[in-house]
Amino acid sequence: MGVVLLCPGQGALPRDLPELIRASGEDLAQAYAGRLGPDAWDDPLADFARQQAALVTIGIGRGRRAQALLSEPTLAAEHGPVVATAGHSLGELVALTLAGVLEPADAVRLAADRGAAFQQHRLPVWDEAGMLAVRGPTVHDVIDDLLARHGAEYGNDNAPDQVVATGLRSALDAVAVEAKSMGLRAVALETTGPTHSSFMQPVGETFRGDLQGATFASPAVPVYSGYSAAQFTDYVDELASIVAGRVRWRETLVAIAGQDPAPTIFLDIGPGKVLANLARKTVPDIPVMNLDDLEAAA
Amino acid sequence: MADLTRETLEARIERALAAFDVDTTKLAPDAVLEDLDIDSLDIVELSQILHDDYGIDIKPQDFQGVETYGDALETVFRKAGL
Repeated sequence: MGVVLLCPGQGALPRDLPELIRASGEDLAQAYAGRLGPDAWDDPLADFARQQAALVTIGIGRGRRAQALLSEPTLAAEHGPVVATAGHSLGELVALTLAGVLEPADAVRLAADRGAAFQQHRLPVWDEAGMLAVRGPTVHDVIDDLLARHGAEYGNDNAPDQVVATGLRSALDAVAVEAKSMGLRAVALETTGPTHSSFMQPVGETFRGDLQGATFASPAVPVYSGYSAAQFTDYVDELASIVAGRVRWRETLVAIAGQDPAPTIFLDIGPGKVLANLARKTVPDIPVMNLDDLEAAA
Repeated sequence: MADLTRETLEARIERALAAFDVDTTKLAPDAVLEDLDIDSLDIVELSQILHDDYGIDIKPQDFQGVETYGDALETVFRKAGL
């Protein structure tokens, strides 16, 4: 019996970021303002550093709320302890913090560093690039061939029926046309650029330098890496490499579900329910909740 | 579009959802989007369809906090000025 905390990355950005940052806790809000300036709260979308640090700040705040609720006697008896954490892309900094590997303020700082690396290496070509979700029950049978033939890259393996391609928009458009001709669905995503593509290698290398100065403690519970789809073994390398590498989220969830003993609940800490939906499709035998469900049950 | 009506929009949305394999017989104002198996990517795709077909300036973020089909329709109508 036990709970796996799932920590989102940069999906749909919440509209009310300033309120959410303030609600994350005094220490986190201070860490955010300390790294980015006292007025950074007011416009967290102004640049990548503010944006990524805001999402990690909010994620840690929500994760701590989940941990507090799960330690209350009734919910603790019903669900058991947290037995693992995992984050989607940027959410890995949250997952590592909730497992005690990173100090919260360090995670917020690293998120800002990561965003600053995006800003530093942003190229005009990013305006002609992006990401494309391709969906359908047969997507995994055809995606490698589709991407190779049109010169796009594999950004996220999200679920049995969903992958995200990344790269130049011209390549993604060609993938979309052919995917649709095969009966698949294809939808362009609003992203900050061709995330998780080889265009991001300079970003990943700058972030690697930032990570090398960080302190990583032993995890209180296993933390799974989307880069390896297994427990983290090399924090610096895996966190840096995934910036320009595939997020193996589907395989990660399958690996967690195979833990012995198997977890009994996947809990999406949100905001939003993206990871809950992906878990429902990937590991349908394990119940899924989100933080709102937990709040309601408390 | 001058002649755009709520009925036209609702019909287009139903057609889109049917293409997403949503069971449209379950569409009702109080039906919860999650129970209808409508996820965030469906919302992204639907927003693009409404923009492409009718020029409605609607973004996935506009649906934040929307839980039911009825609320989703009202969100679209509001963005369409209806």
